[in-house]
Amino acid sequence: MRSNDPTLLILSSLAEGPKHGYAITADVQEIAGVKLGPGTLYGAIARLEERGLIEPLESEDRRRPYRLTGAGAALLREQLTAQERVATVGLRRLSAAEARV
Amino acid sequence: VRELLLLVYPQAWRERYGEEMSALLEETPPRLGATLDLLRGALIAHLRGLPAPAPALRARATIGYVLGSFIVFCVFGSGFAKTTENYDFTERLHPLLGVSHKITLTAALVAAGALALVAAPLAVASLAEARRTRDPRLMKLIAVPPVAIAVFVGSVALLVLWLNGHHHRADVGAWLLLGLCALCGAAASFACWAASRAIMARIELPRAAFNLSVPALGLVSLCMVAAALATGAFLIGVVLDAPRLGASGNGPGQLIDVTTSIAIQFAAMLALSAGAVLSAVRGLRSIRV
Repeated sequence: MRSNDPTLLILSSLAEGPKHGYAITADVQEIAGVKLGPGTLYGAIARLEERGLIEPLESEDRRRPYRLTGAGAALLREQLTAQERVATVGLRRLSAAEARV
Repeated sequence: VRELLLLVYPQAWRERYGEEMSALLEETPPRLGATLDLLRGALIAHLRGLPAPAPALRARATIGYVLGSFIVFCVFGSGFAKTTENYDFTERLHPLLGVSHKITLTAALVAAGALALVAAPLAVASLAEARRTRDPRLMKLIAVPPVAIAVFVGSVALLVLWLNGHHHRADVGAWLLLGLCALCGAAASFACWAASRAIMARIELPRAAFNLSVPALGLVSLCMVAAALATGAFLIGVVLDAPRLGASGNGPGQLIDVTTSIAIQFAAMLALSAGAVLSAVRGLRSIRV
């Protein structure tokens, strides 16, 4: 998964607790600066549901909240750890290269 | 206009996500980018179709469906038990009658045991979650099945006390209390079914709970099939060698004969058990994923 992949952004947003569609969109825009369109958002939600990474809760009026499953939390941790490793190594090399110049 | 765009999505998709997508569109300002994103999403939805439900959702749906089927099945099973309650002599008329009656009874007992296996891990997981979160709504939901069962048992105890006090006469009071028992039984069944569904939707059940509950549901559905087939065998026995018994009146007001009663019970039990088996197979596949 890329860092701006909608599914990863949604998983990261739900790591805080259950949210419905609008709350996920607002949270993703705040944490990543990415505005998820409604088609992209629900396409990603459907894929995540299919893989058992998130699951719906009871509807609140017409808005249905979703939450992270155990499998979703494990995958999110794995992906973020891998990205963190790449970021740490990349930044360290960049700093070393800048110091040499 | 954007809400109309939702009509471009496949029907199955609209049924699943339409309401919440519509609510989301009402909360977001209209933008050209969002409209184009909707069209793109609709195209992908048509190409990919609606995703299959997640394993946990499938397992939960199986539990809800088989439990619901079993409750309705019990209504017809009780009808069969009532129809044949005084037929102890029928084994002499045809061997099928005695054997099938015993199989129905055994299947009902095994199914009741399997139901306890279904409920136990779900109850343990729900109680653990309620203790951990102190969620008042969850606690209320967990209290519903025992309270509903207690009310039903109370109504039956009232009926038994009344009958004992009135020398087992079928008077108006007894019929009213019997009606109350039936009402409490139906309400308790519905309350147990609805509460279990609401609890499962509210908490994340551990995989181990499904690994025990769903196979136990498979056993419940097999017992339903066995009881339905045994009822069919009983029907054959009645038609072949007990036509006079089959022609006798049955049910309230003796409106239909015994053969028709058992035929209706058999058809309903067979249909319910077939649906339960199909749902259990899907549930078993989902927990193997």
